[in-house]
Amino acid sequence: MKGLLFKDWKTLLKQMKVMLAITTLLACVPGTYLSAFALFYAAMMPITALAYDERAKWDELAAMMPYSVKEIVGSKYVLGLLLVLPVLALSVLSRLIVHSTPIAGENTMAMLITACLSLILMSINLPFMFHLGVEKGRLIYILLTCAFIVAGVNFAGKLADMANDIEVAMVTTVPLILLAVAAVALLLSYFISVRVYRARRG
Amino acid sequence: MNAIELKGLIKEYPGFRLGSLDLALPSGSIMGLVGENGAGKSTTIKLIMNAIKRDAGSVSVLGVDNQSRAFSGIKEDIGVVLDEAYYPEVLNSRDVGCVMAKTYRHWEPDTYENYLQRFGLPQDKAFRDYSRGMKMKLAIAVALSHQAKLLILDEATSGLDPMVRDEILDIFNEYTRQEDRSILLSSHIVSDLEKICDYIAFLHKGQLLLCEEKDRLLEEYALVRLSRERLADLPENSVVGVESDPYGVRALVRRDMVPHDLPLEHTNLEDIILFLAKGGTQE
Repeated sequence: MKGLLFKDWKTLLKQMKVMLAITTLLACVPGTYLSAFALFYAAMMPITALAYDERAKWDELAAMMPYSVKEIVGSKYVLGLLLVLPVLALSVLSRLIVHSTPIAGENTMAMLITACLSLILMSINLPFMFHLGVEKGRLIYILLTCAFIVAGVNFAGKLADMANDIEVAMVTTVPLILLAVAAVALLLSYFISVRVYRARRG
Repeated sequence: MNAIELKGLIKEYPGFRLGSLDLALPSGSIMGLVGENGAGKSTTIKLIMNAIKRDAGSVSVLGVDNQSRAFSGIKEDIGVVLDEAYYPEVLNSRDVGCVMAKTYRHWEPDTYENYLQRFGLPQDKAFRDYSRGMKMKLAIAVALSHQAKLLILDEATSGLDPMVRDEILDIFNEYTRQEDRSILLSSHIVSDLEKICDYIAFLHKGQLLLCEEKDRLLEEYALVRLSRERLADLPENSVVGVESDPYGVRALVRRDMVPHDLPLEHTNLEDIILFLAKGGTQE
């Protein structure tokens, strides 16, 4: 899988140098929204890598190489994690060092929640992209992302209405629940993508 | 041992059926897989590499069933060049080398470097700026740099100029000097196959019309020019294909089945393939 990850990383680095630098910068800037953007952007990168694969018809070559379907599919999930986790670490560390935000504080936990949400969104999108291809699946990708954001905003609103002590919930239950949901979503999504990819190969 | 062995291999798509194919590539030899566009050459190669599911039959590569777990390890010993080199367009040959070094356990960076130099491939130029010849040379350099025991080449020489093709055919010949190395080479260019192949397999509309030693084929068949009346006198089954022109007919015949006094002309692989593909009488 190392070869696949290296190929994706090199391709992204060469094609999107500026965007990756901006993402890194946004992760360090104070303000939840900018860091959230950086996290969601990082979680979109596996789909961008898939688009480059599709353009090069890389899958045809990968099928001839000593890679299993699980490795080919799994590499995109690992790539997502390898990009989201450093962005999360960077935003938390910058807050910790520059702004002296407590590690268990609301702002830090908001970052963790956003990271979990970005991974859940990635888990929803990837099986569709493996099934349809990025070119054909573009519309579905946009619709799913919009639906996810609308659902997320509604859910957050209801949560705020329900909980009197939302600050406490933000640093205790919500991050834990979302962490578990993200882990389950990633696993489920991976297994679905493997099946979808196998079926697509024919 | 056979490097590749297909038994009763079948793959069906709507409107196309490949097989049943029975074919064996003996270890240490070069087999040319020839056929028109859409004959099933690329499908056969994908089936050999288990890149697509077969509907029936069995495929054994380097002694291992290609649907077994062990086949993943066997892929380390197979170098594949497809009709195009599908590398991400922003990568250069150095990046491709790094990807392959992390992919193949027996990757030989020095061998790769040597091929890059021999082919005159720049290390820093992006793949998208390569010509088709350069792209195919890069794919061939990769296939030859991980101690592969079997090369599978799908139209690897098509679209290349004659000089480059000749250079690449020499490299393939060089590669099979070691006894345990074999090549399956699919191509439209019959003259290329005639130059280097030991065996010829001819696919036509999904069916394997022949799979024989090249020299035996050239010995077995001959061309004759004769009148229509004389053609009618020839023994049944001795005529493989006939081409008519205003002066008479030109026929591909089996040497051992026609009368000895019949003036025979030497034939080449291209004629044999064309006559076999056309079959019966052609006006």
